[in-house]
Amino acid sequence: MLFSSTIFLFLFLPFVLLVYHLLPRTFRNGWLLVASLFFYAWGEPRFVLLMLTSILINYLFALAVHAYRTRIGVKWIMFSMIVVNLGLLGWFKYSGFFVTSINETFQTTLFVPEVVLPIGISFFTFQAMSYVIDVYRQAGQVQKNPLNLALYIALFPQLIAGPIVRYETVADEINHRRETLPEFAQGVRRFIIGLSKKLILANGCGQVADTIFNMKDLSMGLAWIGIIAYALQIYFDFSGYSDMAIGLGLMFGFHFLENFNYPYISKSVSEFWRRWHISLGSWFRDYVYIPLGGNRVSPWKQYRNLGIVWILTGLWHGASWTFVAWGVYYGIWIMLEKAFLGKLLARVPVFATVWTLVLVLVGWVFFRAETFPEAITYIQAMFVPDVLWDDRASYQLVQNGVILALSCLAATPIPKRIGERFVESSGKVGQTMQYGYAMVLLFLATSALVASTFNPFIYFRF
Amino acid sequence: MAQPIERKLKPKADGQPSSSFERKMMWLTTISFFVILMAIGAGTILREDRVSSQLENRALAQAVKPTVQGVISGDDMVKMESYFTDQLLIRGTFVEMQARLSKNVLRQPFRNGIYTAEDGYLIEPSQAAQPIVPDAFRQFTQEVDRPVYFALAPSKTVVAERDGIIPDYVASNAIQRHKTMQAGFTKAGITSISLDRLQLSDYFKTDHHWNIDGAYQAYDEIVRTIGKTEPALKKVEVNPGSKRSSEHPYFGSLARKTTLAYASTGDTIEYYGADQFKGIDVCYDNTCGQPLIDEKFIKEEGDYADRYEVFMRGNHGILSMTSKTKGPKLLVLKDSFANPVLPFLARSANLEVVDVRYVNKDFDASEFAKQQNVDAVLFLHNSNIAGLMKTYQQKL
Repeated sequence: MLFSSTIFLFLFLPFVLLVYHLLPRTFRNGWLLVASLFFYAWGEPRFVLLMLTSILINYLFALAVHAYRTRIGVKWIMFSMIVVNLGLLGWFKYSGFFVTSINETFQTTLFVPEVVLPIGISFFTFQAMSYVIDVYRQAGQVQKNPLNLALYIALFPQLIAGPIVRYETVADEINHRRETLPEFAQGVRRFIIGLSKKLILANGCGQVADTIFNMKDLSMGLAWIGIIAYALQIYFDFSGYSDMAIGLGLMFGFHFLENFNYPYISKSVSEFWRRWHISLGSWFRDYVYIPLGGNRVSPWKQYRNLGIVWILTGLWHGASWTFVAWGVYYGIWIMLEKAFLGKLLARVPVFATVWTLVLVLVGWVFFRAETFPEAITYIQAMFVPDVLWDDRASYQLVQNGVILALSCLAATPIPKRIGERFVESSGKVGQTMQYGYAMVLLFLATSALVASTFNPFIYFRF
Repeated sequence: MAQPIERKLKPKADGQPSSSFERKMMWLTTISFFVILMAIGAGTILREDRVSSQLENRALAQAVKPTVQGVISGDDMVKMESYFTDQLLIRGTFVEMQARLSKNVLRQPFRNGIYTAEDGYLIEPSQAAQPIVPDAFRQFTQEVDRPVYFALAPSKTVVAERDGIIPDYVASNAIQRHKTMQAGFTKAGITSISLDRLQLSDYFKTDHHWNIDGAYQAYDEIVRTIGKTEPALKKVEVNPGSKRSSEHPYFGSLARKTTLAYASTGDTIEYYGADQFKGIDVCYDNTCGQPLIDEKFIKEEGDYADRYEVFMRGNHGILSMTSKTKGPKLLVLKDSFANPVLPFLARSANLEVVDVRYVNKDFDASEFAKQQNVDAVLFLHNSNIAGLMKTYQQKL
């Protein structure tokens, strides 16, 4: 089920909220788990069993880790846990890619398995691993009740598109949380803002990006409009989804960490990745980079560690060499920033912001393109074009200039700061406006949902 | 690797409300959100299902009976979502609201591919492959052994393109396609009746059809051209005083695609009263005495009522219009574009009218022309008929 679907918005959500808040506290987790499994089953019922299997396996691994923590064998348990989880992810997400790559490299004709990718498998696998690792590190208590673990992994607000909620973040809240009116109201506003980001801004920009990426012989202007539109689409799509997840979490008394922090105002690529998909970056940092030695090893080993992390980051996003290239691309820039570029950029902050933005936009070309030749052709149109401007670019600018401009503005902290200052300084008027603003957005987002059949959720494929 | 900053960003609860007013606003936010969602959801379930949408001019998805296989595959859930979205309470209001956002806030001059010109004309520019007139037209002309005419009206897009109303940056090759089609019919041995003098004011603002003035000009040109070889075909003037107008505004096919936000003014649909067409017997669906002008459609309530059906109640596969006229007998092959012309033409000639979209699959136009012993054949369309060519290939 999608958050931005009418069934979710007008049936599932109000019904689940109503029953949840009417039930005695003892039954709330059970109800939330049932609702979450139904939510997941709505789209692909057969994969519920896969998710439950993953939960059960990791429940057992965590119990084993807890029981054998002081013995040598615990490392083998952890090793097995990693092999099983990555094996599961590898089979469903990467088996086709792996065999195809072998066939292409060695001119073999091995059978390519056609495996359907279960929605959200990358997210729930990483969360399950996070649970066992946190138990191993004693960053969170082992769950004796498998239903509680199932709730942590399957909790519908963050189940299929993140943010990746670490076990230590919500471990206490699974059994001891308080739902309050201020937080519920805050959650409502946050959810509506996320819904609006997705349905009004992301979908609006997405139509522009899709149109242009399906065109041939792009002029320079058109290529730039297309990639800017795509950058805005993916940002509002994913950050909108994270906002909705955080908002829903608050309505049920959970506190998820922020996943985005205005990434397009970054002054370096390293900063961009501290502001973009924060939960994934910190997962790789804490569970891959630091265990490999992190910064506390020789410079060459640091670069090796960065290389591993960024290849894995690229692969996590998709089973394709263009995603690997995208990861490597960022890895190289972060290594260069670590070596010398970061210090240079720090001296010229305005240039650094523009520079970073251009690098990120070029990175999105690899992310969006299906193949390398397609990506190269697009980048050529951006930087060494045959034509600077054409009628198609004029059309896009006239038709979609306002939505692109609004989206650019909304991608900066400016509107939020202005809004906060207004609410703080204008007392009751400000608070009333804040309420009215949320309700107007709810209607506008709903109208966009109903009127438009264009409703892709980019991050679901991960 | 730099340290992420997510810990600093953990969302903070608003804390305890500082005032009773703030607390009231929180309650209001919570209750409004909940009530709005619940009301729309419950209202959608409780309300009787609608079969079709006048606004969207399409059938709406209906309730799904789930099957085990459908549920396991997820197909039934997809159908249920379509059903619920189609049947959603105040769906039309949401669609109109979104259109107003697009027009007034996002300042988008195009909606669903339709351009809103400054004077309120809705134009649908199009860039498509050059049409090919099938050889069936040449064979038909030879087989039917009667004079064959083609009155090919320029589509509204052709006129807008000719008059420079479509912005330069919009790709549209309607004129080129119109000319290609005219040349194709001429090559097939069909006599062309030129309607290229039509102006944009001869078309509805919110619909792709021509209005009564455009239709009357076409009638004039058809009689003039066919009259050269069929002297019995004479123009019969209408009484200008019998011209009537709809009280309700008319929002046509292009308005449905853009909604009232874009088609703000609407059209006035004009027609001549039934008294101008006395003595013409209209037969279709095995029944004669059918109304030629049916004002029921003019008076119908609803913004998107199809008032264009005032002429013969819309399209019919085969329709005959006979009177005591001394004019020739014509076979008219047409689509809805011809409907307002037919009442005028029926005063000058006896007509057998065929809409090939609605006839049986074994219908043969040349055989029909011979059976009916018509004096001439007239194709009456606008240039946007590339999609009909396949049907003509089968029926001619």
